[in-house]
Amino acid sequence: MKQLLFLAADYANITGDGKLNVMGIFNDINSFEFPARQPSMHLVAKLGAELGEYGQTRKFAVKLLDEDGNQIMDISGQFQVPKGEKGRKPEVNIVLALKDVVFPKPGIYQFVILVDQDYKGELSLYVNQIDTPKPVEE
Amino acid sequence: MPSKAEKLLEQMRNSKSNWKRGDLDKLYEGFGFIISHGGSHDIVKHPNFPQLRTTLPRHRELAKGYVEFAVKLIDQLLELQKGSEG
Repeated sequence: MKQLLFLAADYANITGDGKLNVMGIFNDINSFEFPARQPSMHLVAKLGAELGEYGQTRKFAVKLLDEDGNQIMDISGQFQVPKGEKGRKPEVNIVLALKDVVFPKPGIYQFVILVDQDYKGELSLYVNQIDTPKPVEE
Repeated sequence: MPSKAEKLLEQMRNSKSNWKRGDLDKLYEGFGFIISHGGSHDIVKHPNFPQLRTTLPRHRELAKGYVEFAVKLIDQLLELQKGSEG
């Protein structure tokens, strides 16, 4: 499998006819305080199949690593690679809805996607501390 | 004359399979990357180009995707170095 797309967004879904909808792609998360909690986010991956993979079942894993290389999340699953038809290379869309992801401190976090334990790509997420807004003096 | 790291890069460009973690460390370090021991994975960073970073698992045997990505990352480094020289 080849990674064709890997991104974080506010929302994503796959329609009944296979269209991938993605809204609000982002690479930054800003927070006043830490640990920071991201109530909802979606990870979207599009993988392209290579010859010999058509029709097979593949296992995937997505790991979230902090700037110091600590793994803070690990999600895994499996998918069926469609059969290539009419000379078309099959693609697989994966949408993961993540709830309440906690980022312990500011820094560069990385989501890494693996298929059958082979590295397919990564996505950097910049988690920033921002100043608390000061109350307006009258 | 190409350096050891340049030779390794060409070998990895030609074949992505059957490399060990130690080979990848030699490649990265030969091109000036710094590898630090992280919590569950190791961190690879370039001191002059902080956007060039990745993580590596601590397996001795490496899946070919890590080698493919290393070749891409070093190609990006060479482009950036060319740009900063000009």
